[in-house]
Amino acid sequence: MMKAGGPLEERCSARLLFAAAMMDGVFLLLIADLAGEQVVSAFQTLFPANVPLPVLWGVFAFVLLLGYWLIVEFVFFGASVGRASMGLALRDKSGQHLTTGRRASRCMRKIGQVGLGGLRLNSAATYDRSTDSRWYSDMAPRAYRSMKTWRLIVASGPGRGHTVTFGKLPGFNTNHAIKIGRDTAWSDLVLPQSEGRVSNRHCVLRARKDGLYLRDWGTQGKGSSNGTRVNGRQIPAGVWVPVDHADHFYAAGVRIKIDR
Amino acid sequence: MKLPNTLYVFNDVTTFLVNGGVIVGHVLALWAGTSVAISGSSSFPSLSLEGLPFSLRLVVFMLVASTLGWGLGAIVARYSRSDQEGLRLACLVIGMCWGGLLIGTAQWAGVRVDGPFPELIFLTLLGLGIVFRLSTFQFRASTGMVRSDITRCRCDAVLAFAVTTVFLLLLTEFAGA
Repeated sequence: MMKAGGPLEERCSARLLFAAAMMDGVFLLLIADLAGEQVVSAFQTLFPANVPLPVLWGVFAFVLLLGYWLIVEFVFFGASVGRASMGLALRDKSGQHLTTGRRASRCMRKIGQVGLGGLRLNSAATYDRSTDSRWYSDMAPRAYRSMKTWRLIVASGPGRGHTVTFGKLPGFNTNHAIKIGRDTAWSDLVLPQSEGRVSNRHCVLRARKDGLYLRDWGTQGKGSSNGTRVNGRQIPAGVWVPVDHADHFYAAGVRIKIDR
Repeated sequence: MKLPNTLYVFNDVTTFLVNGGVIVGHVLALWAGTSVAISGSSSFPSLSLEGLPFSLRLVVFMLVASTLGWGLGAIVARYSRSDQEGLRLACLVIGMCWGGLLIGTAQWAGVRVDGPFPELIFLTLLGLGIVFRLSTFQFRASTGMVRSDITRCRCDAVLAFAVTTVFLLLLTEFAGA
């Protein structure tokens, strides 16, 4: 997942979005300049002969705008040309991608208001507010998140998408050990049996006040068969290794993302 | 003797306007290949790209746009951290000046005669993208402490740049036609 920086204040996001909309406008102007004549002449054959030319250009502009919105919202998850240039990313309150349902609701509201609800300089767009969407950017500092909201997400293999939230583990506290492996009775993050390379008791992630520490576990803590890798290096068996700023590690080739 | 803050602000704004005006004037004079008055009355060289193929003009434009983007980011990132209101105000003015410079560069690198490809719009779009990317890269919060008012000042500068650029583009494309 792309790193999205921190959440922008409403006033800041409104101004950056306005600037991005300017660039999107130039992009649409370029498309209209390149293809407008041909499309409008095609419209002339479709519509009755007495429809004036400015109306056909209006229809073309509406179709272009609508098509652009739909493509941006549903194909590129809110990343238009301007927003992508600025590194703006649409997220929910917790910094995760919006669900398809929320994206659809946002897009429908936007179209319902013909985009006018977004033309604000000091506050978020009405459709962003009503769907609780936020804009994230590298320009804003990353928000502090309690360790209880941190998550481990399986990012590859058959178990992809399987998630464990730290705070939801029974008896979670600082200095808590989160076990990862195929053994359902032992593991907090259970990897599927089809992941043959992963040991039953593969590795343990310890959440301490000063950060995260990882240990390759295996049989009686002496190391797994196929190892654990963090920051591109295989960690020695039976030793607690600080994870530092890494946002993922590998348990025998299975990528596990740390969302913090 | 301690001078009142307003004098510092006045000094900052005046210095910026004078220096900025001189720099902008020099750059515009350098690029204004069609200005008979300047080329006739001064020793400024006039750089014309009209004879070059589009690919070369594109490369030159991208180099200048990258310089503008990096410059805008560096100057605004520094000034927005200042406690002096004058320098923070200057961020807005710089954004507007940079918009003018970008359109000027796009006009300089684009072909003036009407062709099938809208070069001015394309170059402006490309320039906007480059400047946005590079300036927001300079504004990233991980490079130091960023208060909310600093971020707001930077956003204002980016918006001023975008609005000025698009306004001047529309003025050039439609009002000039």
